[in-house]
Amino acid sequence: MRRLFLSVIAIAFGFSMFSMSGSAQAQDAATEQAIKYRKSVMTAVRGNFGAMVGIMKGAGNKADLTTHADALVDLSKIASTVFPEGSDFGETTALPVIWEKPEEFAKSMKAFQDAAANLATVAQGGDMAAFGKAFGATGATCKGCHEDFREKKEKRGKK
Amino acid sequence: MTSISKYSTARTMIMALAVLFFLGPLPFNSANAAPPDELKRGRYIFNLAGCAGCHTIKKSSNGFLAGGRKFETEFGTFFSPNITSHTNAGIGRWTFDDFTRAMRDGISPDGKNYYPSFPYTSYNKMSDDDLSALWAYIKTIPANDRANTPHDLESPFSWRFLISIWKIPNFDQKSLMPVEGKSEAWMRGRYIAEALSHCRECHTPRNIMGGLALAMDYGGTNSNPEGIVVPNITSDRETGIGKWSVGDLDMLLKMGMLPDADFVGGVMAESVTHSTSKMTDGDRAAVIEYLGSLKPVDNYIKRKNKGNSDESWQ
Ligand code: HEC
Ligand code: HEC
Ligand code: HEC
Repeated sequence: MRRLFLSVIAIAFGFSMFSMSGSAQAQDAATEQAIKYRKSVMTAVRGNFGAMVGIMKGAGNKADLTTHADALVDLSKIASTVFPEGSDFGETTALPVIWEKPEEFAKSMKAFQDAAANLATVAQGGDMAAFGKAFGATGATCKGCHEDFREKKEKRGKK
Repeated sequence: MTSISKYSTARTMIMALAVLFFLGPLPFNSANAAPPDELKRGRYIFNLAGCAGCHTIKKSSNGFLAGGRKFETEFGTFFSPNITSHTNAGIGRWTFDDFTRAMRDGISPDGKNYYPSFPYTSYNKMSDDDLSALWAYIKTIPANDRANTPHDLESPFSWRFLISIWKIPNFDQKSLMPVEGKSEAWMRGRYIAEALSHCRECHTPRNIMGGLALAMDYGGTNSNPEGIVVPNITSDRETGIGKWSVGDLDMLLKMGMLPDADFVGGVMAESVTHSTSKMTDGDRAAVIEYLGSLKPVDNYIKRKNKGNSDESWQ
């Protein structure tokens, strides 16, 4: 028992030494992965959103609108987990204001989640006019968030 | 005594009524004197010109046109002024002539030059009718007493008199003459793009003087004065938007959606919100026709979303 305890301590100690020496790099790597994950999630959002545009324009099967809308609902929930604090540098178009005004960002995210949920419900009904309207409303939440929180800017040193 | 006073009260009332009759309804807010049609038109011009975005702090619920929005540029930090009807804090004392001089010549009522961060270099092409309708509308904006924030500029940019020198090569008021062989829609589209919605102020790169590099008109830039990446929107098929369909452009201007179902962000999303989404269908179609005619400029701009396609997960 005592030996086990000691070895746990030793491992923990060793681990903390390791993580101390590599902490800066480890953090950079973690940020990089977080940003890549975020972009992949957003690309999946776009994929499903774009697929619905395609179906509305006559491609594929109308019945699959529900699949894409449901996927958007799931992705909209994941989207709220892809903006960890500190992931505002590197290859990203996410603006620092996301972390400076977290309540406003959360509001924008919530609007997206609500619009997606409504879109999925309307998709079940099969009324295309209603679907088009709900689709436009969802798009407005994408634009709304990108307007306030996303921009491609050249990185400049802080003044 | 009583009869006299009764008589004089009646007389006063009659006189008051007569005065009212001649003056029309009391000018509680003198701006209300403008006919409703003109106000509606003024509001439309105001929307297309995107005045609200720059003169309002984002998301502030009670600061409509009260200024204070910050623009961090390589010349220093600008703050938009209060343009509500407040007599001290805003432009409530201005006459139509003052307004015209600001919009046409970029000169303030006390004779100072405005910085071109106020895009009068585009607005100077506005028609007389549109300018007066716009003024009628601006005067109806409720007063707000927010005091102006001074710009924080580094010399020599802080020397306003230098702007007069800047204006010589960079100030062209006569460029919207009719062009032979072009349709009405094309001319309308050009007017909206260049005089009202000032697309060129962002989409045309700038020369060292900060003026528009017209040889590269609408060719985009990898870093505007605020450090923003602005795409090439000429008809160049490789580096511009020459492959876009009319429907693609319509979706973008109406709701901000790009052909790949991504959405524009930042200042372009603002332009969509304030300006292009509020255009009539006819005006939007006119802008699209004009855009399609832009001379191709070969200028590669960094893509905004690279996804992960050209990077690998390590
Ligand atoms: C791109 C941002 C931007 C847009 C769009 C814009 N303005 Fe401005 N405006 C400014 C800035 C910045 C100044 C301050 C310029 C200076 O101090 O030299 C200014 C100054 C002014 C002034 C002078 C105010 C004063 O107190 O001297 C007026 C009037 C004005 N703008 C009206 C308008 C109107 C009307 C519109 C729409 C047609 C408009 N602006 C659109 C940024 C903008
Ligand atoms: C305040 C600056 C600004 C103004 C004004 C502006 N734009 Fe833009 N525009 C941008 C920026 C920045 C982008 C890139 C936005 C993004 O993708 O997130 C953009 C993107 C675009 C695109 C998409 C191009 C592409 O390849 O992705 C088109 C088309 C466009 N603008 C047309 C216009 C038109 C037409 C107007 C005038 C009605 C206009 N813009 C006014 C800054 C501006
Ligand atoms: C609550 C905010 C928010 C909402 C809502 C939102 N986005 Fe985004 N989106 C962002 C931010 C921030 C980025 C920038 C991510 C980065 O560069 O790290 C982004 C990036 C993207 C990208 C680019 C990914 C890449 O590879 O760089 C696409 C495509 C996209 N969003 C599509 C959409 C669509 C479509 C919707 C609506 C169905 C949507 N977004 C809704 C915030 C949002």
